Amino acid sequence: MRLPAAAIVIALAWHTPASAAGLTDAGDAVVTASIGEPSTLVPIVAADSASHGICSLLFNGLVKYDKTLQLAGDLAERWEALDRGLTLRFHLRRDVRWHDGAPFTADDVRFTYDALINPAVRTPYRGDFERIRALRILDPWTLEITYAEPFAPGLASWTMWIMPRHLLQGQDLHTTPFARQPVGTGPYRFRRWRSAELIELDANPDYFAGAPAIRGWIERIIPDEATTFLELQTEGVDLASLTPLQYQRQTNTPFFAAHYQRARYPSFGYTYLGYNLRHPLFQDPGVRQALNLAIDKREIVQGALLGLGQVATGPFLPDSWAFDPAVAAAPYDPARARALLAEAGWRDTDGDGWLDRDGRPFAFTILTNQNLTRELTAQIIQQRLKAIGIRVQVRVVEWSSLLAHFIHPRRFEAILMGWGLSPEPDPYDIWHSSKTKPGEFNFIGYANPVVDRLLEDGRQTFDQTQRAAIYHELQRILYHEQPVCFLYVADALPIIHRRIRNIEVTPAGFQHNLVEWYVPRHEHRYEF
Amino acid sequence: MTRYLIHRVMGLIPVLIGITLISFFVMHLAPGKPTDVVTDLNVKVSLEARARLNQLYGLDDPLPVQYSRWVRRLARGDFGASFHDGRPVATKITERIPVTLGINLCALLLTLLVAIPLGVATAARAGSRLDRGVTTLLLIAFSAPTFWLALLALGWFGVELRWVPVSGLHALLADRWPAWRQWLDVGRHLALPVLILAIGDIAVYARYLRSSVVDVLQHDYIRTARANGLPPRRVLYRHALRNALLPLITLLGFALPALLGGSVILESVFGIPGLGRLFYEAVMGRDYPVIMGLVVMGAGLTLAGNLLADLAYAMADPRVRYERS
Repeated sequence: MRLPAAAIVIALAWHTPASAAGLTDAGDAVVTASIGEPSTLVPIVAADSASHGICSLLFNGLVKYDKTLQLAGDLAERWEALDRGLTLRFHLRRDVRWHDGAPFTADDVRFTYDALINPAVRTPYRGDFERIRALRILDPWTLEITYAEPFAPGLASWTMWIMPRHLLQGQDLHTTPFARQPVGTGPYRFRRWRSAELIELDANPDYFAGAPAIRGWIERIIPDEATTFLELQTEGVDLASLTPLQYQRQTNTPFFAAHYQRARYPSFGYTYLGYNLRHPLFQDPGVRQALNLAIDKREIVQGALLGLGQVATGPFLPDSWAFDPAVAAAPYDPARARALLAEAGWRDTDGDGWLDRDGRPFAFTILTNQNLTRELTAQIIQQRLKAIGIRVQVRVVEWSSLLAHFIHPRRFEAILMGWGLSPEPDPYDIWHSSKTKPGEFNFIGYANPVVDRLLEDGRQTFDQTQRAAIYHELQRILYHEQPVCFLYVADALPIIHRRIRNIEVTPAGFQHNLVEWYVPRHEHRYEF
Repeated sequence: MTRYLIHRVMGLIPVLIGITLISFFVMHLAPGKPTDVVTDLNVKVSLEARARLNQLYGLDDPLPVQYSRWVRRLARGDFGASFHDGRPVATKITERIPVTLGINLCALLLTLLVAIPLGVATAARAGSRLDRGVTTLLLIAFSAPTFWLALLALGWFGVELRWVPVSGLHALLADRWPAWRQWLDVGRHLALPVLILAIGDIAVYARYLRSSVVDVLQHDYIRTARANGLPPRRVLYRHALRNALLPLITLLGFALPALLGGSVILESVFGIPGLGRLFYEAVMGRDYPVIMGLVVMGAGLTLAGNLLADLAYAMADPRVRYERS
């Protein structure tokens, strides 16, 4: 029996709804909104989130995180750890071409590495690469990287985007025209940039992991959140992130139900109340545990995030292998908090309603930056601590001033801030006692020899199960000692136009499979 | 006149230097450094990396050294490069000029077209119900916060009625359209911003003009004109208005720097790539070269505006002569 050719095409299209859609569905564009304009599209210099968003579509690393947050090959087909992990040997894909047609080889990796460790290049990502002793090219598609000492986060650092040597060699990476007309290896190619208006990308038909079905990617720069929301209401934007208020109260309308899909997953970061551990108030772990019991974290998630988040219990992503789900959040227990404080000598001796010791009341100031959720959180904490007799003041300071005047000179009592996290969990710089110098990240001044040793071991252990055990213990100690009060992990709240199919939300977010997104032909909005 | 002009222009130079000097030092008094923004709170940025960034930007040098370096470069016509993206400051400013200038010119035109008749009409019937009603409306228009008016207008004309696009300057993929349609498209995008921008100015100009016309109407020559039996319209528009317009010259002198001083709020709400947003972003990012470039431009235009207003006075008002001063 013979079928007409057209029928075969239709049958094929019918049977592959999930991958890359049918041929007839290719086309259309995704329109996204960004608050800020990217500063540069030279990937190793790009530090802001707007630049990151675009670079992630244009470039690839040797490895990438898959949807379960495990490392998988990207430009590297596979890799081996040699010499007990001191050396990584990468086997690169041979079928990768830059967007201008030039082949991708190990020379591009070496060029990127040389730029990363060049002191004249203003890159914020140098740290991990300075631990490399040598990079050797064995053949155009094989290279070996040797570390000076075992360094478990080394492999993850090769998620760093690789730059084309043939276009950038000999150029100043800060002034090169490449920053505004980049050439990469990724699923989308750069097309056009209108300053402060938009950036247009189009699909890379030769992408090694399969050409994206959606032909265009347009990032509009809309500096005002309220305007972005109005754009959503007119379908002028296909992809944006919502605030908790918008998610809970403003997008439950029939219009949004008909035109958009919303998603929710834990964002990559946590918010905490950090204590200046050099301050006499906060040196006693019992006092810090009491504060943890007196702060109702669930109430904060309800009040400040409208329920769109979860209580944090440690310094790792809740979905990561490093996170120990057995660490339970302390309950809200003001009576127990008051008892612990009494043990530490804090009582209301003069009957004025505030706790005191040696004639001095328990009072401190929480500093935070201009961020509505954080301000609300600080106010909730203020109320709860007032209930057990601790007087808290809240002071909101602009970000740059907060760093320059309070954090770096260590002039704070308590701060309400957040840490961004990546799937590679190594938290050495935040908790190790050697990292307390001005400008370093252990600004709360935490020092615990046991934690120091765990942090050192965690860096040098390659086996994920063993490493997980180390980090689980670290998390238990940190939660018990309470150098900071872990508050919450907020949810990321993307909203996506309904015509875009195949969106899959995982712990890694929803953009991991964007080459497989498609829009059925009859729903196309843009002729791209 | 020529001697006066030379004299005035020479006098502006020390003022300009003073402005840049003060701006430069005040700018550095604000806490924070550009490197804060580049590095954020990122564990992957080591302490040494931050020190190195400061050194590369020349931020470790004493302020007088930094200032003299900036002035010497400026003398060669070099505004430097932005810390944010490394692009020349002059390019960043010039690419934003057409949009801001266009919006402001349209708004100024609209303002004058509405404010002059309104001012004259209310002055002619000073104290009437019309006058009081218009005065109240203008006060409301003047007091309403721009961002609130803008969002209300967007919600109504953009979302409910869909008469105009919500934000931006061009429709997506508009570059494939014929020229006339592209122009129409830009016009649709700019209609609301121009209108909102003009509303506040109309209030100011109309009130100024009203009091000026009321003032002029008290003069003897107006009474003479009326006594001679000239028609009221002619008295009002020919004789009174001409003299009443003089104070507007001063206002227009201020309007010159305002033509390039984009509105931060309006440009942000409507997503328009103008100079106001550039300035705001530069301040928030501590992008010193861009801030200074815009300060020099603003100061230069303000001084030029004052000078032009003075000269225009001399031409418009025979009582003002600068020759023998």
